[in-house]
Amino acid sequence: MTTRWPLIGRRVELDRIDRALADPATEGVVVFGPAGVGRSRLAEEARHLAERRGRLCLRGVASGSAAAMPLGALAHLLPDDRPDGDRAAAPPVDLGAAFGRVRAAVAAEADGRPVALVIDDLHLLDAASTTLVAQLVASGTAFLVGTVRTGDPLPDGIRALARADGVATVDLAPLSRECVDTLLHLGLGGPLDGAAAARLWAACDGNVLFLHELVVGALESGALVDEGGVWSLDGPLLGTGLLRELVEARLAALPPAGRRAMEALAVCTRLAHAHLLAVAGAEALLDLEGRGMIDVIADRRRVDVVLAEAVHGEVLRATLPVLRTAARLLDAAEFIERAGARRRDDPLRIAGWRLEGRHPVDADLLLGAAHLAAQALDHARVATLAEASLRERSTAEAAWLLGSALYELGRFLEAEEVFVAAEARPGADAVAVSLAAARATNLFWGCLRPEEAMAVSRRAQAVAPAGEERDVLVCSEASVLMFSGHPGEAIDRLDGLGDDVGPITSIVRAVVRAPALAVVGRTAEALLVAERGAAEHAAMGNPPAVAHPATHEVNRAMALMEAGCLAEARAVAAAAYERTLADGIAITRVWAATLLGRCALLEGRPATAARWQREAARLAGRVGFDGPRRLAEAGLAVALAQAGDERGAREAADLAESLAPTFGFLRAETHLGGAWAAVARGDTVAAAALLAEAATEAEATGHLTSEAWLRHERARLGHARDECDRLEALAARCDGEMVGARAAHVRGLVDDDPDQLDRASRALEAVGALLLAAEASSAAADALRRRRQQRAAAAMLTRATILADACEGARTPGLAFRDAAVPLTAREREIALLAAAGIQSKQVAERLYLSVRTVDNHLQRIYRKLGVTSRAELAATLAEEDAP
Amino acid sequence: MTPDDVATVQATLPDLGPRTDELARAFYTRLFALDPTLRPLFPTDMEAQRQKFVATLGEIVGAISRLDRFTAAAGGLGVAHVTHGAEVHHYELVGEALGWALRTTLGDAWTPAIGHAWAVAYNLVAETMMAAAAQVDP
Repeated sequence: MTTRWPLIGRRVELDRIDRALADPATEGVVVFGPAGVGRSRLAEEARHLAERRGRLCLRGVASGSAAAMPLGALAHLLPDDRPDGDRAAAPPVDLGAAFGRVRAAVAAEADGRPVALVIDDLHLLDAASTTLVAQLVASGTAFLVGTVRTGDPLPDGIRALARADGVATVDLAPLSRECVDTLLHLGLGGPLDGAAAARLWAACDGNVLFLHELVVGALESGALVDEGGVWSLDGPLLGTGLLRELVEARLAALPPAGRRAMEALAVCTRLAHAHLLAVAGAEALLDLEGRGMIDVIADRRRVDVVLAEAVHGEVLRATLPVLRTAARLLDAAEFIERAGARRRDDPLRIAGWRLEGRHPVDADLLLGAAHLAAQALDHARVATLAEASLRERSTAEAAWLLGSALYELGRFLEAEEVFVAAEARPGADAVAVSLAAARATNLFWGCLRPEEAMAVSRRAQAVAPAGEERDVLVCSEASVLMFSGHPGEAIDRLDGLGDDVGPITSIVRAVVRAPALAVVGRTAEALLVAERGAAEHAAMGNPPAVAHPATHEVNRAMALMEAGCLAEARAVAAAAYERTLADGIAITRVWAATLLGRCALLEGRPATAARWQREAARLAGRVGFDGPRRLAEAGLAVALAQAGDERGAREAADLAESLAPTFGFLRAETHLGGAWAAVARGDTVAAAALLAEAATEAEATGHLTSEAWLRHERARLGHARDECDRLEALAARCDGEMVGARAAHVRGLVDDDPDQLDRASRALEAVGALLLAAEASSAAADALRRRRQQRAAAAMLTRATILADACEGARTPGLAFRDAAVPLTAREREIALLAAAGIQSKQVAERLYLSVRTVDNHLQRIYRKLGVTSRAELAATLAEEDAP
Repeated sequence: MTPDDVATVQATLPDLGPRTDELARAFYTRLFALDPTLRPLFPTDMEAQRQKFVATLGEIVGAISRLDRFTAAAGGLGVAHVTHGAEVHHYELVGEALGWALRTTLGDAWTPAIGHAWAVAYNLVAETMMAAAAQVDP
């Protein structure tokens, strides 16, 4: 990161400057723009352009300190006629004389060349220098290249100079989002993940300098790291010392009232306009708005104010003394309270601010605030508030909120401790059901202890009153059943609830029932359940202790995938991913990412699959969800194996097998990792054995769609005959197109029937499984060749090639024909032609002065390349190749 | 660019398959409509030009995954375009024409995500081309 960033998004401006330099009627060019937008850099590039056009470039130095000294900016251009060389100390003050001397000095140095005078920050020029520069420009002595910072009022003289008739102006706007992306891509030397790009964009507001300093700061603090070729950002954006200085410098220029308002906004993020009026007064606010430092947001009946540049808030928060921070927070809390605290989220704001301001807060207020934060899915805030409430007063309710938040934050063991202790706290009876459900979730997902989770849930069911409370517990038990690998039992348990259930039960039930139905092959029902769950959930807001609403989308994607609507599944999962990204919900994002990876695998896009699974695995690892992480690592292994990375595949597969042994959802599929790692090292025997075992496991646990996948994989490795009947039985039991298309493929392989294989290929293509479709077409081509239908075989192979081309370079045994597309060498062709003519190896060897063994080796390679098995086929293939 | 943007952009041409010529046709139609003075910079017979356009586009977006290769390829392209009379202000027109052509050719398959990915990719390509072009002596 020591190298300089490229100049991005400024080519049009630079072109304009170059044209101005080339135009004899133009006397200068001045670049206007706000601080940090890249004026100085552009001035420097402009200097290069001027030099390229044969100009001598002289620099004028306008700085805050030079402004104090008349003619300080140009003093260094004057000939050194004083013995002590202290030119700046006693500059000439007679402007007429100075102009003459400077002009003569410039002419002498230029020696006939045209001159450009480059002055960065013209607005800092002292009045005498301004006059002198204007004269130099007007007299044609020098072409002016200058920059002016916008935002502050300009002295008249400088405005006259910079806006003079003969001077072209260039306005620099903040960079666009695309340009910021490009700058980051080229500056960091590779792609960023979506979250990092979005955060940096939001924090820099298109300001190049801020962006640069934020990135350098994040690299130094380790927040920005290269994870497998993709930059990812985790941690606060503190910027660098330089950035803090810059922001400080801008803030230092504010009057005290404006500074107060900025500090209050930095610590409280968003404040009522009325409150800021009380803090700083109308004049200071107008001034801040004029400087572009605050934005006023009016929606319906409220008018709020926020900081215009996020980076100001970051720096202020990092540098404000603790007591001042506390004072600003408490002021804001008091203001809202005096105003009546009428808004819905006011209690949250008051409690949060008081707490941060180290001020005692009432336990009930904290509890209420924690509930509000839970509805906003702000788990870190829930934990802080609930913990504070517990400090003030011991209640089971606060402990339940705290434990649930700790679970969401991935602090599972702490959560379990809090839950256990909560059962003895006052008010435990009132929240017994919520407590049991939350504890069971944590025990299963976090601690990976399914038996205990089930026991907690059952114990609570025994004492819970009939109705919604008990029903929710049944759902939690079913969830444990489903995710520990018993989807059929989970469905039975849920169906036992009947149709007449409460609204919360209905949502929670949908969350579990949809994926359970999908994996047992009832995809149409699964889809309906997920859709209805989403609608009901949306109608209720976000009730706490219910899954994130995007979970229904994830379930919909799962159902679509199992049904064989891969494109739609991908779109739905991507939408869910974006939604969870925006809300910062890790677990649902893990699911969305791993399903996107799974979908890409089914589609035959190993590179895309690897990327998603890597993200899912990384995220799951970070929050400690080893169950989904197991799925992601296994998916990664398959993707890497198909992309030809044998070692990466083996490592991911081994890691997957070591994770979360009690996690049963889609568990049999995780053996695909090991199987494909074996395929990648050429050991298809071991792969087939692993797949057989995995298929048995899937069958035993009722994961029918997984079973179909595993059996299909085994069939593709040469065991079609073993798997055909069972696959056809599965196709009859699973709805949707996917399993049927798989069975059709395998049937075609068994019968070696080109028509059947072609139909299967088209069915697989229709569901979006292009890699499988390519393999089926390739098999159809082989079958046709065996029937001597060379022309049809060639056409089929073309189709296979087109399909395989969309598969991101996937390498599977079923696509071996792609290796065969390697042309024969001259020697191989020679041997092939002789062999095809019916000449025996021995005679070929004699004729070519080779050993028989060498000829046979060549022939084997030729057979492999052309995909033929006999001399007759060889002859037919060569004849086909020669045909026009 | 995010890895996703890269994948989206790299998948577009393969997804179009034989319809890439349609894309090229839409692109040039739009480009010449935006600025008719550009027409004389191209050959009378556009068929070979369209093929070249598709091939170059595929090559450039394919190279995005490897930055060194990409910079060399896009830079070379930028330099070549200067000698053909390309100017800085043409890049915006080309970007607009490309976005439009993708939208029309993809039809129902077009999504805002594809549009965004291509906008970002085009920006990366154009900036790299222009940076290299700026090094050429006038």
